[in-house]
Order: sequence, then C-alpha cells, then structure tokens
Amino acid sequence: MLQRLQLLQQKLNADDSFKKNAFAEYLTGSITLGFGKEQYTLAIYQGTVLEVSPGVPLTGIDIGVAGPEEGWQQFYGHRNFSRAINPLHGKLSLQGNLIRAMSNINGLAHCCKALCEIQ
Amino acid sequence: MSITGHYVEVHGTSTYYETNDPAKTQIVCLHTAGRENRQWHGMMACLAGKFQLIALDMPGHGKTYPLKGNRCIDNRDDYAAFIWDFAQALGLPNPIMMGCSLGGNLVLQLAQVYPVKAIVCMQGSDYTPSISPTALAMMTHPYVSMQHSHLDFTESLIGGNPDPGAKDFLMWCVAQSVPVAHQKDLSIYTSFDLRQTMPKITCPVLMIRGEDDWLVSQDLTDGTRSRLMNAAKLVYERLEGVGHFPHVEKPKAISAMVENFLNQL
Repeated sequence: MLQRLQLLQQKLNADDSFKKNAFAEYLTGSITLGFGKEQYTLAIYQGTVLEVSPGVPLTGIDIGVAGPEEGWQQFYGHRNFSRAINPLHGKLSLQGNLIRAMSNINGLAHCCKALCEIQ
Repeated sequence: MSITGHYVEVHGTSTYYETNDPAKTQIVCLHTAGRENRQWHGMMACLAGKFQLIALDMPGHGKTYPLKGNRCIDNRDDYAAFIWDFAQALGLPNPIMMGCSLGGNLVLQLAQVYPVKAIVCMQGSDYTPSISPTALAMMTHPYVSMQHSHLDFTESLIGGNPDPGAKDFLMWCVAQSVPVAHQKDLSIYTSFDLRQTMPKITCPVLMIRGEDDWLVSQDLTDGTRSRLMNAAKLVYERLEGVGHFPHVEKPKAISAMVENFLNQL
C-alpha cells in the first residue's frame, strides 16, 4: 500500500487540479487514510504532497478518511466519494478534525478519487 | 412561451413564484432542498400551452423572503401547510402537486393531509434518513463554507447523461444557496418518515426515479411504492442516466411522462 500511496503523491503533484479544482492550495496539514487496521499519512504544504509515511502523526489525525476493506472496494467500484462517506449508503467515514475535514472536503474527495485510478 | 414572476402573501411572508403561460390545468411545483424555482424553467418550456406550472420559492429560498426573524421552516407539517396555503392564495382548491427530492417527499405528505387532485413524486420517498447530524451541523458552521463543502455532494447526485447546461446550472446553485435554509430543509429531509401513514394517500400518483441517484436508492423507492396501496392510480417511471434532479437533467423526457399521466386522469 505504501508504494501505491507514493504513486498517489506523484499523481496529486503532477498537475494543478488538486490545488486548484479541489482547493487544496489552501490545505497545509495532513491527510490520513485508513484501510482497515492500516493507516498512512500524506503530509501536505499548500496543496503539495511532501511525503507519505505509514501510521498517524504524533499529533494525531489532522483530517482523513477510513473504513474497512469492503468499504474501499465499494468506493473503487462506484468512485462516488459523497456516497462512500454517507452513513446510509457507504462504509467510509471522515476522520480527525471534522471541521477541517469539511473545510477541505473537496481535497479529500479528489485525493480518494485519484487513488481509485492507481491499482 | 413566457415565464413571469409574481409575489403573493402567505403566512405573512412575501412569497415569490414563477409561472409559464396560463392553461386549463395548473401544477404547483416544489424545488429540491436548499434550491429555488428556476429548476422548473425547462419543464415550463416543454409544457407551455398544455399545463400551467406554478413554481414557488419556499421561505428563505430564491426570491421569497424568510419568515419573521430571518427564520426558515423547520418541520414538514409547517412546510406542507405553507405550500397548501400558497395554493389556496392563488385560488387552486384541488391542485396537482409536483416535487423533487424534499419536494418529492412533501407531495406525499400533502396528499395525506389535503385534497390534492394528483401528485408527481420525483426522487421522493416516505423515509429518507440519509444525512448525518454532523453533516447538518457543518452546514452553518462559521469555519465551513457550504458553497465549497457541497460541491462534491451535488456533483455526485447528477446523473451520467444530463442535458447540456444542466450540470452547470445545478453546480452554480450550490454557490447561490443559503446555508441556513438548506440546513433546515435537509434536517426535515433526514427526519422524514411517513411510512405508517402512507395508506392515507388515495389520489393518483406518478413516481419518477432517475436510476443514477444513489441518495434515493432503489430500495427507498420500492419501499415507498409498496406503501401506496390505496392510491387511485400508481404509475412508476424510471430513467437511465438520470440522477437526483430529473426535472433539470431531462425536462423534455419528464414532461412527456407528466403529460401522459395527467392526460389519462
């Protein structure tokens, strides 16, 4: 998974769509993605992904998305982020500071949708 | 065809509505949660000369003023009463009611309480527990811009094959919505539960479902249909490639369904 997320880092940094279309240029912090018991964190400065590392920062999760493998597989199928995090229709959930997560929801959605394209 | 705007006083609130050219049969049209009556412009054009569509902006939405104290309606009983009294103010004793999403839910409530002639229920359901309390709270949080935080949500609800311009319009309306009005609407939406009283509906019902809509799932639609056991007539139409906003995404196709349904009453 770490290798896959490093490819995600390259993809997010490859063009301006993460920064501009998803407003990640206003995001300095980290995104933690949880896959069952595994967690990985993307450190981000103004929309540029600086590094990917396993686990959670010592300061805790800033913002993130997590769920069981089944939930991620469903998401990889329909690729609909809002559906994936809906309590009635999906099995993923927002993590960390929910106010910051909602403030940066387009960046989270873009990040997770980009992950779908990296198998 | 022309679309004209008017104001009428309802419950002390100056209420804005738009209509196409006068026709023998009138249909009162209800917009989706947090939005406004321009959603019906496409169908107004398609049905011009056949039906008069009368589309109101609910309090605090579009050009309708909020309730006193800058409040919006926060429960479904008051919503239904407001819509009914709007129709009465226009001299429509037994109107046809048509709505989508929250509007689609509300026509089910109206048909249980008031003597409507028929209802058209698009992406409506008698039970929609689909928005979390946290998501509702975030809609008016000062650190969260709803104009940003609802972009992905709205885009995710649009079907795979909308008419040209429909997606742009729907996304533009995210920027134009009023957070507190939208929040109250979705609060009503997620607590909406009419399952026990659905047998009260006895008028003819047209249900329309865009099959790309994940929010109002097939299960929710099927459950609602199963509880319409006393409707004088129940017609169910499905559209592939259409999402949560059929009247905006495919107004021509929806208009044909509505015309066919109403002409057979």
